[in-house]
Amino acid sequence: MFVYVQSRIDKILKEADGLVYNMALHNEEWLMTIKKYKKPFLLVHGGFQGKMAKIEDIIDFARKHRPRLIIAPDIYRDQVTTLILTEEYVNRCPDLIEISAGVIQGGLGDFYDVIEIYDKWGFKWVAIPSDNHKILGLIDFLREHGWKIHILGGRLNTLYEVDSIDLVIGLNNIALFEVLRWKRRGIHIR
Amino acid sequence: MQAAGQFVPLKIEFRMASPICLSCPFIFFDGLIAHLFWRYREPEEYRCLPSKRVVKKVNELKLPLKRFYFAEDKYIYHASVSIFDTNEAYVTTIYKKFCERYLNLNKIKRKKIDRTRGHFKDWSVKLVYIPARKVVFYANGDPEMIEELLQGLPGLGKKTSIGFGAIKSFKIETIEEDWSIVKDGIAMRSIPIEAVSAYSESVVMAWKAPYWAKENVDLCVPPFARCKLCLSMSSRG
Repeated sequence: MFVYVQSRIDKILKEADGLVYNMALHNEEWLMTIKKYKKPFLLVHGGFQGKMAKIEDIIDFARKHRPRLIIAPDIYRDQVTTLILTEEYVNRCPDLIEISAGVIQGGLGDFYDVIEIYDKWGFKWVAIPSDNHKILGLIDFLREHGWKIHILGGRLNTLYEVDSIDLVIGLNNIALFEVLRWKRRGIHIR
Repeated sequence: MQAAGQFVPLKIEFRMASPICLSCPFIFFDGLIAHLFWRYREPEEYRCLPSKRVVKKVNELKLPLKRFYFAEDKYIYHASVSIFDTNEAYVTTIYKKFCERYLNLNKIKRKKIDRTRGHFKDWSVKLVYIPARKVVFYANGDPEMIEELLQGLPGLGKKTSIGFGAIKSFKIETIEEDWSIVKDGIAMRSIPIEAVSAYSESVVMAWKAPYWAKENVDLCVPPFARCKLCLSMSSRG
């Protein structure tokens, strides 16, 4: 499993597979940190923190810095608006879809329809908020149908097999254990 | 035009929004209706169930479904098992693991939580799920009552709280023939062998709700096996 981390602790950043870059915060210092550690990064738009970056800014930034994965624009617990925003994103940057993840939001809506739409738009990845329990049971179904899965905002104390996860960690040394646990998990449990 | 409360042959079709998780190959429509009917008829009692005693109230209820009597006091309801639009089936593992995230730290006095036994024990279970888009049931009953009951159905099958079995919509159609027990010589539900004159195979399984109760298990013709019902037996409302 690929573990992305956003933290200020050097030990944690060294241990992580990748780092998280939040477009809404748009911090030059953090961009320098990512370059310093020479690690791939995940581009998030910051909607969960309440301030979402503009779609054109996300696209410009992604084309310039080439993240490993981009989270397509979404609204927390609103699948309809998420699909409208994602469609706009898809129309503007068809070249970035392969490295973008469509977000499955909201309660459930029509899970089959959402997956079909994302497939039609050319997504290979789907991102799932870790507190969206209405989707977590369906992770095996998504994997069975060839989807790569990213879990948004880790701290998920379950054992679902996913491809990547992001953890936002404050000034806390215990968090290092969490990073290590996520990294080792795939090896021990499979 | 049928009068209210009159039993007619029905086709109930569910359009699904997510795969259906099962621990048994079928969903029994009379079991489903029995569960919903009890909740509808006695909502207070339904929500105050004893924690240590098994309750088998279902047999006392008169469901809005026609009965087929094959002995003096033995009957099966005119209600088929689920018919899925796909033959695909997959296995998933469901995990339950203690999660400190939801812990109320102000209330918890214990400093250590034992995760190997007791209330917080971790477990995993393997379950089958079917990626069906459409599920059909046949029944013979009161369409208005059945529609009212199905309005309160949260999902089909197991594990609806983690996304399985979400229902997009359902419709109830009146049909001309009654296919709720046998359709073209094929059993549409489990039928005790006492009720049939000929059958292609037999299996020990439950034939009435609650389908988990061992006293309801007997030698039956399983769903989708060939059989012929005894003509001398009768259907009653």
